[in-house]
Amino acid sequence: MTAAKTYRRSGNDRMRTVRRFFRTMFSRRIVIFGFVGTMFFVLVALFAPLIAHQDPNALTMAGRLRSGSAEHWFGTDYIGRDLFARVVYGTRVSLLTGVISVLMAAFVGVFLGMCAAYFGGIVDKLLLGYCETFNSIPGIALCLTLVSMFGGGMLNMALILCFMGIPGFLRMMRASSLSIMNSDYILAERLQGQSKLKIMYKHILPNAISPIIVMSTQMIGATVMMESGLSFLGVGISIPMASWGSIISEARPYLLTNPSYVMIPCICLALLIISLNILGDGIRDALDPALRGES
Amino acid sequence: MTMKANDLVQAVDIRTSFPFDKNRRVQAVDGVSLELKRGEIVGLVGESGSGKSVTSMSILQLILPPGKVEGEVYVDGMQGNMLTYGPQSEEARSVRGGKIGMIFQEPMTSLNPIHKVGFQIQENILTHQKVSEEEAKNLAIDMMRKVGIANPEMRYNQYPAEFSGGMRQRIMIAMVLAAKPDVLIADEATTALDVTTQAQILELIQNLSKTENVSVIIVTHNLGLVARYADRIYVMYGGNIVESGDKYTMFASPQHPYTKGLLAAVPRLDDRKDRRLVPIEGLPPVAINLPPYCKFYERCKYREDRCKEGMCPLSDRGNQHFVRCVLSAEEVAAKEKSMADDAGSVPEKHIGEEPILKVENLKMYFPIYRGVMKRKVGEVHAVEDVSFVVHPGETLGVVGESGCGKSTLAKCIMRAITPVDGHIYFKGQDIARMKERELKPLRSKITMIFQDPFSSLNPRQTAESIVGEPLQINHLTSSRAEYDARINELFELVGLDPSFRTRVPREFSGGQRQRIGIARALACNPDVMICDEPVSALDVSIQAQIINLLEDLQSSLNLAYVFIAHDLSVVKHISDRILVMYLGRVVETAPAERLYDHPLHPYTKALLSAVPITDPKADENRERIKLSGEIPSVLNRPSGCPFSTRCPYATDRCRKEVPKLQDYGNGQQAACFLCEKER
Amino acid sequence: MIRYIGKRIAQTVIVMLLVSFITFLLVSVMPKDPVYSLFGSDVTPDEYEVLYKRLGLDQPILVRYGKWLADILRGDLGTSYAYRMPVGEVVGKKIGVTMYMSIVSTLISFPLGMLFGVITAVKRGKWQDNVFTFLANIMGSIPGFVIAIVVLWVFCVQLKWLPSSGFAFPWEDFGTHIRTIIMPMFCLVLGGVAGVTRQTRSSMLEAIRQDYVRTARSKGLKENYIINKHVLRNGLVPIITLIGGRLAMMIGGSVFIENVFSIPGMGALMVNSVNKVDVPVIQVCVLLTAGCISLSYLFTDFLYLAVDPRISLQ
Repeated sequence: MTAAKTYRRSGNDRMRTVRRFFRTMFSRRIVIFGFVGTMFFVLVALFAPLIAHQDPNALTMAGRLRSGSAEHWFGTDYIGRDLFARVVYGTRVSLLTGVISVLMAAFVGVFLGMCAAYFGGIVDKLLLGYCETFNSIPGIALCLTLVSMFGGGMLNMALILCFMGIPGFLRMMRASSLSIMNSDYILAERLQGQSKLKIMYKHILPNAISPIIVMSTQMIGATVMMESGLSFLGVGISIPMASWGSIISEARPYLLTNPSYVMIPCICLALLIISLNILGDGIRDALDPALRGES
Repeated sequence: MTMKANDLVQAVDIRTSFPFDKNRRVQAVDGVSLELKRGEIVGLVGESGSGKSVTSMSILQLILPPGKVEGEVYVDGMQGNMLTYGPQSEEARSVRGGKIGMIFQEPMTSLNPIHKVGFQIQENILTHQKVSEEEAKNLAIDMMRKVGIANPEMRYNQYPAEFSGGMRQRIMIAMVLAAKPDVLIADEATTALDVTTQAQILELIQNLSKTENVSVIIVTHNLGLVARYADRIYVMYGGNIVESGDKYTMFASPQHPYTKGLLAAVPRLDDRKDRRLVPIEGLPPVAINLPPYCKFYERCKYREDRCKEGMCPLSDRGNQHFVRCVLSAEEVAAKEKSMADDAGSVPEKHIGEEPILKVENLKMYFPIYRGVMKRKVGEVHAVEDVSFVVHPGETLGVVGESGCGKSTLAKCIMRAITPVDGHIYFKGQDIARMKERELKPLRSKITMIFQDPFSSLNPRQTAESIVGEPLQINHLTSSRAEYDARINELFELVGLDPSFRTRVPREFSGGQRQRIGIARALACNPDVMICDEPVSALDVSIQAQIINLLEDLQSSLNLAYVFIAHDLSVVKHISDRILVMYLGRVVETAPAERLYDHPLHPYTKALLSAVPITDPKADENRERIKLSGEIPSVLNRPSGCPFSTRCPYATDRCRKEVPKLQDYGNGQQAACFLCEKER
Repeated sequence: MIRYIGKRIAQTVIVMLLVSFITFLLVSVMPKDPVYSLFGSDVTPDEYEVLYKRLGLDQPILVRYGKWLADILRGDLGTSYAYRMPVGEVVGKKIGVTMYMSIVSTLISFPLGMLFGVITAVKRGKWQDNVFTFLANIMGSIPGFVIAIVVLWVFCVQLKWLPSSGFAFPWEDFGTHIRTIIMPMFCLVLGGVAGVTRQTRSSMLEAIRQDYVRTARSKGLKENYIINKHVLRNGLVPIITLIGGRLAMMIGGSVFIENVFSIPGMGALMVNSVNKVDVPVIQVCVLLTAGCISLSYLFTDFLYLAVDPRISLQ
């Protein structure tokens, strides 16, 4: 009886926390735009085959470089493929590469960051040296080098972008782990004779994770940007797979004659990244009200 | 409305609020009126959230939007209500700094780190006085000398980072007084400082108020400070002034139930050994949706239905003593008599013969590294040759100011760090250099309570899991039912409702969190508990609850406490014996009563006299030893007696030799050549 | 303080050594055979043996690294696989173009971004804040090459005001320089200003919140004076440290911009080299840009030392 009562109260508390989270998140109107925009592109990516019933890689009967029509909403591209289908399927590539690489980077970065904090000493120095070194190489130069070594393609892109993101997560995780390690409740755990490993994953990990979540949401936008940039340079996602970056790259010669061909993927890309960044800011505000609107 | 003659500042019906969410506002100050006469020192006392700081900031119009201040403020020499001019007006700015100066709590952050202190003082002079820059500099240097800064010409060009906390607070005072204001507001100005430094600063303010002809408002939570340094006192609660009057009248016959409660809740240095504190039940009010009647109603022992009829005005009880209470003094007195004094005295103690914890010649040094190659260039002697014993059921108090090594000592005993030398015997076993594996079974027998109830609990763990973790680590319970039963038992033991088990720390108040911390420490039936400043982060009314709880637990569970604190009144109240530490060394140890009645070491005397008693009459009759200078840094400790740089009686011998602890009978030991001679 | 400077220089040297080692490693793990790449695929097996030895490829990797590093320090940057000529000649002017663009755009975007950042922070919640912060957020979110394409379309295709490609240094042909640099510089600066505005705003708001600002207010100082004396410097000092990172971003951004405006800079060269797997060129590009960035980190740290008294005290 008592237990049930307690459970219900605490359930309500959790609900209240969740509701407060969303209320703070959406307290700035613009975040709603970010949320709707992101959800729109996520849905497009998920249901791409339902939305675009044309094959993005198949040539159509309409011919090349046609402008929009009832049959081909965005027209056709330089060899006559349906642009609408290519843009819709491109959403998948851009989002998927972004999300997967950030998730992997966060995972590895969190692990290494905890290692740096846990072992200290030489491990810490080496990992910090690694961060410092990669901090000094411009991201794009490193990406290009890695692509030249391993080649393009979606999987390689995701791996390379993940590799680029690791130092940031590592530093952040190391810093927050170290600050939590200095707090009294960790000392209390140690004084109870709790094992160091258990302290790490039971107490430090859950408390250090919220800045990582914020960082991840903000990294997705940056990663999508990087992926599209590399594809634009022609070294990223390999043809014939459609990525917004590679569509823009293909369309660029026709800027003079067929501007909408270039502008449509450009606008999609800009909208997606803007939405992701605004949503990321909203999540940061909600997770850390103290930082509200400060950047 | 005109000002009374003699009044420097008059605030009428100040109401300050801040938005909480869309519809609600936090009413931080709810109709405060106060006045300040020329040459007077006024104390504004209250617990955290009582609105005392907001009141003083409202008078200066330092409340930024979206905060809102209503009411009237009149300042001598200024026309009309200052609040109507607006915070950025010429008039308001000439009052701020020019007529009323303010010192804030955090000395470390209140000065701009990238400007020289001289510039920051000069800036204030140039804003409010018509002098040239050269004259302003001279005035500033003059003022720096007056506040006791040696070599002001040189220090004028230094940055705040080159000053200690006490020195920065002196710079703040110099900065404020250099513009020749009429009023100085000290907003918790000494709270962050050590006890002896605090006494120095307040004495300085007291003297300067006479020589510079400045009135002072001391805003503080510390009743003792206002009892010693103020002339008149305002007591605040929930954004209202509940009682005001001359300090002698007020401490002799407090009339508002809250004031009475506060005085009964704070420990006093001159308490008899068995006095039990009377805590104020309940929690301080949250300033959202405050009731339209007495804010203290919920916690008041003497409450009646008529209290809820409306906010009662401050009524004059004669002799300029104002009280905001429906009940008259006689009614309260009658009620007090009818309620049996259930506080009684502290529960009986059973102190064992055989020591449970014995520390011998403990030494803890921390190496200092420098340079790229991390060469070791020296050592910080944090704990130097400390010995003591603790018996079962006994409380050993450890007092000292910052840098005295009391926290390092606690960490050594807990074996969070390994001491460099010496022995720690727990039940006869030396744990000083034991390996973690051997130590593990003993860890549950020596536990610790921490200072900060916010940072000592994992914010993501439920209360149940925090308290139960030691049980799981040591496999003390075999079944879920047994575990649940033990958790409930522990919750009840520390006075928490077991139905709060699934809550997380955020959902508890500061006092309740400290109870969770105590329950965690009790989980494995420990023999010794190290209490590291367990009440210093709590409000005084809550402090008493925790102190009483600790006393009850000691008598029922026969625990031994090592009670570490900087607050001598609290330590003396709870301890059987006291260890006074200074710069890593024990300078004196004695039974609590003996230490207060008959201190031997000059530092103990100074420390005792720096702590005021909440009774101005008794306080004035005490012997006062004033210290000069500041606690030296642990990096350059004096070569002889650690106290020799500040001791008024230091001789050449003190500066060369380190005195040893000598026995003076009655369980009292002191390390001082002076006492040796007297013997 | 001298100790600190020494320490920072030592750190920079170590980082540069690490970077050089990593870039060197690239060659060793590359799937491409350096002998065939340098001398063509018609090398006979006997010649191959001789050339293999001559390149020192039979020696252990650390020895080769030492030799390579010594060569680099002597100014011999190796031979390009694709062009069959010294890397120095291939890279030389192109890297100059990119560094010129990056440094100039960094130098332009910092004062502008700081100005906008200060305005948004001081006018917090007012329309100036809303407009500039919104624009900064949007501009910071749009990829540089998208901005570049739009700009190209507007000014070159529609209005026909500016040439779509080309580049000249100011000391070669000032007129052409101005005409060719406006659009690429605009695109680079736009992103830079957006970033610096956001960073400045948050740093300024942090400074405004400090206790010493409350102290300054309690002294009755004028609000403008408080902003000038007590907020501005404290808020802007941390921004200086971001110059190094921003330069790194600008170098990255200029790769895209160069591509859009067909500027013969390092960006085009690198993309080309990646497609042709011209490892020595990539190596040198990475090494040189990393060197520039490390130096700018070092420089900003020393700058910080000069403006913040706290650090020199420690």
